[in-house]
Amino acid sequence: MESTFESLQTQKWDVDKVGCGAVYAYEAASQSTFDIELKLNALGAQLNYFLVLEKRYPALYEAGELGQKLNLRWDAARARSENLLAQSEKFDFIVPEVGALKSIYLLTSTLKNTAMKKQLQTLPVARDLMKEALERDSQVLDGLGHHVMAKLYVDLPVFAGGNQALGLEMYETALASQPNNLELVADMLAGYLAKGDEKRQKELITIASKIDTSTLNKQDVVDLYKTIGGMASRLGQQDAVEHFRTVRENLLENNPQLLSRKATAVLGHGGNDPITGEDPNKL
Amino acid sequence: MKNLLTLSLLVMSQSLMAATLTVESNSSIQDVVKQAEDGDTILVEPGLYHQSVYIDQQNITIRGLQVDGRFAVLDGKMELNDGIIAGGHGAVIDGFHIKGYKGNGIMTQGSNNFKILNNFVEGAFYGIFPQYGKNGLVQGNTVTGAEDAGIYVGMSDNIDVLDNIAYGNVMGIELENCRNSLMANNNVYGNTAGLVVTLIPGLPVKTASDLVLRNNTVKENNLDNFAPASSIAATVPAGIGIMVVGVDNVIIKDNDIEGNANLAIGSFDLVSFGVGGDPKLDPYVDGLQIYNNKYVNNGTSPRGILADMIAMSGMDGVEILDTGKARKSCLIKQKGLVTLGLDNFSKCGDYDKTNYETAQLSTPIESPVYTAQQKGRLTYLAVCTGCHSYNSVLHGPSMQSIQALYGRDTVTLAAYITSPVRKHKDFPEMPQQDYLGEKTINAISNYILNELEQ
Repeated sequence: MESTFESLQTQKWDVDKVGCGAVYAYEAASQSTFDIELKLNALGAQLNYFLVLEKRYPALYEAGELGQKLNLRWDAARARSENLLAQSEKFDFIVPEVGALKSIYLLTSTLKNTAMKKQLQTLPVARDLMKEALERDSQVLDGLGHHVMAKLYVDLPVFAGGNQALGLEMYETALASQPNNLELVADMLAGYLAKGDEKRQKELITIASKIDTSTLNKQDVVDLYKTIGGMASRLGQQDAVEHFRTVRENLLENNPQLLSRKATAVLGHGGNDPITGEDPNKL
Repeated sequence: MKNLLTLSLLVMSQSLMAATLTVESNSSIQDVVKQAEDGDTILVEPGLYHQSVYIDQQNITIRGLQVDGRFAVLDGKMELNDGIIAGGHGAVIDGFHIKGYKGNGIMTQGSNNFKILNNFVEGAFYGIFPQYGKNGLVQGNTVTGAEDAGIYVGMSDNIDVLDNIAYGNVMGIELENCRNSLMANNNVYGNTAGLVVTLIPGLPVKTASDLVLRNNTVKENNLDNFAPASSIAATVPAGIGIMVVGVDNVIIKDNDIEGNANLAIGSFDLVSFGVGGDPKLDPYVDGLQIYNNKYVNNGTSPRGILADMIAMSGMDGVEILDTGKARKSCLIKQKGLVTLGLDNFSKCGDYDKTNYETAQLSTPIESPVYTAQQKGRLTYLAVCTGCHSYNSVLHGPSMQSIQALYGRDTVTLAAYITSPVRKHKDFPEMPQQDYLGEKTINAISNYILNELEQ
């Protein structure tokens, strides 16, 4: 069962398969009382599922059948995660990953299907949990903890504990030890956009264009290239845009199961430009 | 000289040829619209009209007459989606009472040089919604009861929004992804949020900038948010007088801002507001200028998410808030004004003292004639997406399922759109769309089956 859910986790273009993987992981973990590694892996599977689900929500208006179905799945994943955390918390005193994963759970599980008030309330809690986990193990979750903390510092409003300068510093430290982390580079780009530092944004786009993506999850590459390519487009880096566009299109053409994430129109908004017929979000 | 004379004669003859048509009380407005030619005026006698109206000729003035206190009332009875839709340039829509429509009270789609004047619009999702237009005027209207915005100007440039009254809406007046536009002398009260300027991600227009909000009265916008739970409007916090979300170069000056329980002015970046995710746009506020406003009793009883946000700071009585990420912005801080997150705002020094009389251009903007294909897309966006999304059920079946059902048979689909027949009990009855006219319906049908997401 474990190898099944691990294999299903990687199929990020298929929300059903990733969902099944999350359920299998949960069931495997629930059969054991003391296997904390299994429980934390299962929790990781739920967090992965949240991120896959989140990308399936329509961009602007979430009503209708699709939104309702996704919310049901979201609630179920939340319930499984809460159970796993309850099973894991007894190990918190010896396993800093518990607190770190709880922090990430709070952040990912409130991305959708959550009142804004609740989203806001969880941010400082998530920040403090991650801070504590990092104090116990600075490399918790193989550096992911550091990445998440940096993002929190950059994203939080200043009066809610945000600290852009510190966050960017943490990002640079993370990049030094993980130079091929494409997702980290994408988040750093957003951080330097917040600062208004175009020079560093352009440098990061160049770094991103040189990262070897052959071992990365193909759906992640398609999604991250769209994000980074979009930023390059805004900055006028046409060579970079061309690179991201070409690689992305080749991936999509050769792997028809991958999702292009094209948004469609609803309630008079979105979709293609009605004057030109063009997709405004394509690279 | 001869050419000038010829031109003058041509202009004169065109204006002499423009006709005035009258819609008799309680009869079909669309029947008269169909007879109109470019430049005509349509006068609608007082009466009750349970209709949708679609105008795609150029330079049409449609005016509701008022006689002895009686108005031309368009009532959708919560059965019809849209009141008046104009796809032609130079449209003037003036003097109607519009109520009971589920989608848009008045909408212009891709229409330049338009004027929407002196209407009273009740209910609807969007009360007055000009979109993809340039050089327009929205003036003297009263809008109430909109589940999104009373007046919602979308992706338009050089628009004046003047002298309107908006109350009892989720957002009183909103400019979304607009540039070079003006909101002035409006009275917005009793909404969830009063005046809102936004940069929404994922749309064809990727910037919002150079907006002036001056001399507006913005009072007691504390209404509980009643937008549908899953819409983006549902994220608007109650109790904000003026809200800026991600827009650059906004000037907020000489406004009278009173009694807004959460904030007089709130400035948010898209990331903090939870609507990030479009890498092609800059989600942060730049160049915000706030000065010479009058603030009375704002921020006295924060609630909801803003209360939590403000509580994080340990302050109370906050009247102006920024998430701390606005750049190159300034404020003239009056004595006693409580602000939060504005530490990086400078003091407005040599701020622009222009009175900003108008954002409209001095001459009408060039207005391209839309092709059938463009009309199909524009009308699909204006009308069809009110009930249909592409890959999910909204109110009616998904467009994906319609494509599967009809294949490339645009003729049969067009016939259905003209005169729909209820096929499944799980879906509500689709209103007749014959008011759109044969050419537009054919264009929509062709767009759905041959272009949409192909």
